[in-house]
Amino acid sequence: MELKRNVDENLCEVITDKNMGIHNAEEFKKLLDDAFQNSTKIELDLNSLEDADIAFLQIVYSARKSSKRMNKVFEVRGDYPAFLMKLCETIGFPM
Amino acid sequence: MDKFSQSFITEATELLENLENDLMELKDSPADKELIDSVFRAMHTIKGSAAMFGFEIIADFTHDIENIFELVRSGDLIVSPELIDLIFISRDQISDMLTEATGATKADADKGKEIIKNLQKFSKNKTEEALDEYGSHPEKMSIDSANSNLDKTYRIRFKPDINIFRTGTNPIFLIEELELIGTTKIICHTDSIPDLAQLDPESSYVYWDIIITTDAGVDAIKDVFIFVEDSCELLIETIDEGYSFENDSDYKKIGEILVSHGDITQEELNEALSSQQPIGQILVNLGKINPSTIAAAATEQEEVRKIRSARQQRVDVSSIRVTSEKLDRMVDLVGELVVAQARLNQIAHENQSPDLVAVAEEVERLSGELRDSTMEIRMLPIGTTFSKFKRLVYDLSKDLGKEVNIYTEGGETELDKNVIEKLNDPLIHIIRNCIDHGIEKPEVRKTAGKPQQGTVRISAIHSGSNVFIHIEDDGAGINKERIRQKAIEKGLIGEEALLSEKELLGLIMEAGFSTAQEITSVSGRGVGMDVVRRSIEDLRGSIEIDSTEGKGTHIIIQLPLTLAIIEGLQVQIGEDYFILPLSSVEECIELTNGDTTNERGSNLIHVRGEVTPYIRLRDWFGFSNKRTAHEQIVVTNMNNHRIGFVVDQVVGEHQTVIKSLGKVYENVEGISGATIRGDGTIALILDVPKLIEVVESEIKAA
Repeated sequence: MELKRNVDENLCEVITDKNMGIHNAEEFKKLLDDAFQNSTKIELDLNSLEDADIAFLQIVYSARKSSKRMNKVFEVRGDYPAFLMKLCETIGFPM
Repeated sequence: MDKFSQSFITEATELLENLENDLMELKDSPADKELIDSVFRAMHTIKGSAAMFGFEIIADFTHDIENIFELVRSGDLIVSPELIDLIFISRDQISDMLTEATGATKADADKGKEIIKNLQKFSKNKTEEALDEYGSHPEKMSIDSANSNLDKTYRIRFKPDINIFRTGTNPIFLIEELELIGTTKIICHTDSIPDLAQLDPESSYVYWDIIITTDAGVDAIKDVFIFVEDSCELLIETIDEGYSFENDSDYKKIGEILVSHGDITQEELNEALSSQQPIGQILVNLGKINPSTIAAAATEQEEVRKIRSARQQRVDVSSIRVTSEKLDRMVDLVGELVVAQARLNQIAHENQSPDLVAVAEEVERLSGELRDSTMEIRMLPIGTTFSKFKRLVYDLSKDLGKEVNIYTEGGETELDKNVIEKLNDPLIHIIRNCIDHGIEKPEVRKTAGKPQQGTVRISAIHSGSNVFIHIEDDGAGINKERIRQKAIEKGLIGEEALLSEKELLGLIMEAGFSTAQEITSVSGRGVGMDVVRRSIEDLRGSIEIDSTEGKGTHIIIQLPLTLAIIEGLQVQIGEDYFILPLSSVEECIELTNGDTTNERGSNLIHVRGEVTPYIRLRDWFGFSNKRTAHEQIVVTNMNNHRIGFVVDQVVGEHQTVIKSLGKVYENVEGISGATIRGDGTIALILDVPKLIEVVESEIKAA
């Protein structure tokens, strides 16, 4: 997992690990907190993502919710991985 | 026999018909759980009903087959071609037992015992094999067979404890497990997920409303949550019992659903209802609920309404059982009504009373609607007949050592039940011919570069007031030269005869024609296709053959939708009236002497450059009165055979209620029935195919 600050003007990138879940939820949240504090635009890079759980989905959902309230831009770079779309469909989670 | 036993036999016979269809499909999709369940349910129902009505022998026999399918359902036995064959034979035995129960032919009891012995032997061997291979199946879920055919719908509210992730539990697995036992609609409530600043990343903030439709019972649902029951709020409520005697497919309103969930109170609902906005919007605006709660309620409402509506449709389709005699009587009465209405119309116009005319027009409208509705009741999907052919093809291809696949399309196309009944035998004959003469043996096909398995495709298409049935095979096709030689040998045509491809192929349907090299038990006795053609023509239909040698044969049957009432063209000769089926009429023209010729005793007319034979109906029926100065000719076309009928006058279209002429007149050539006109007089209905045949044979003789 990695946070790239000031990639572009006020843009932060958060790059996920292969597996995102309860085991690294704390770390992921900290990276996002950091990014939200230091940038107006945050991009989430899911290119490496291969597995995720609800804890991860909750954090992404929370980040999107916060971005609206804080008037910041929070975006996922590229498309969501197919497995994640399927997972959300299975459990009825709105993305 | 009492009416309950009669009802059982009718119902069991229908179940056996469906079973045959299911088995044919199961042959191709041996792992299809729905089909396996369907076969099991058919056996289960027959067994239960047979025992209830005192048919113990049938109940005992079916019990053994049900047991076999219970093993299949539970995964202890795999559907194989041998098993399908055994079940087919068992199905036929039950059918024989039902026939015996009606007092007709006795079923072969020894054969029944032999079947049971084979089934038991088969199940014992296969179960042992399966056990050897896989061992036992402790993880398999036991399904209560008593509830097997009753899908209930439940609402599950699953609200995990905030610390559920910390216990190592992953709710995703629970939801995936639910999907294995039924059809689900899942709504995840995410409104409680806080902003990042307040979020504890290891806490759970979401919960679910799940609508599940399953026959597995509430215990199976509880079992899914058995390991988390202490760390979640779980509420399971039955929202649809799987049956309903209510006469509508409605379900609770959104507000009622929210109250039943405990999401709002009745008072809050009443308060919101006093406003004029949609209830969901009001409650969200009032901050009483979140949008996802409304979405969950709307999903529940939609899902249950859908389930009930589908069930209602099933009930609507299957809940009325009326004997066909009653339907025939009803159609007769509607026919009488149409005739009486025509008479009323005529009197109303003769009396020139506006009030009477208004009533007559109203009666005309109502009787028209009644006629259409009644005819619709008699319409049946042709698919019921198609499904029988699958078994026929299966049996025949096995007997003849051929590999044949049958595909059917357009089974939902509807035809009058009388047409369907009378169509059965001709279609069987055609399909037998396809398999016997058309489809080649696997080795021959392979040599010809074709797939080893031949294909027979049957389809039905509705077009206007007709239905077209296509029977196509990808077999050897018809050798036209052999047809020609055979026709010359049989004296059907002269050696120099010039025939089009269609005419040549049409010879196959001449009496006594057969080109099969060997006579088999299936076909080839030369008494087939002419009978088929006559049967189709008796249904006021037509048949056409198209074939390409080496590629296959295509037979097209055109049939009217109904036999009871037809659109006719009314014509007049002297004081008498006749009806020609409108479907066979091409055009009506003035007869002028300049266009007609008489060659070797045959009357011919030039119609748009084409020479068309014609008959003068006045002469045909022996009218002695004088011809009118201006005659008209009605040109008809059946199976590409054109013939003109000269009449005094074309009156116009006529809704023709067909009446049988009775036994005394059944052999009168050229007349197929009669109808009653508005003034109470009778008009005879012309048998156009027969008249064409007679005229053509006269021409050939000349």
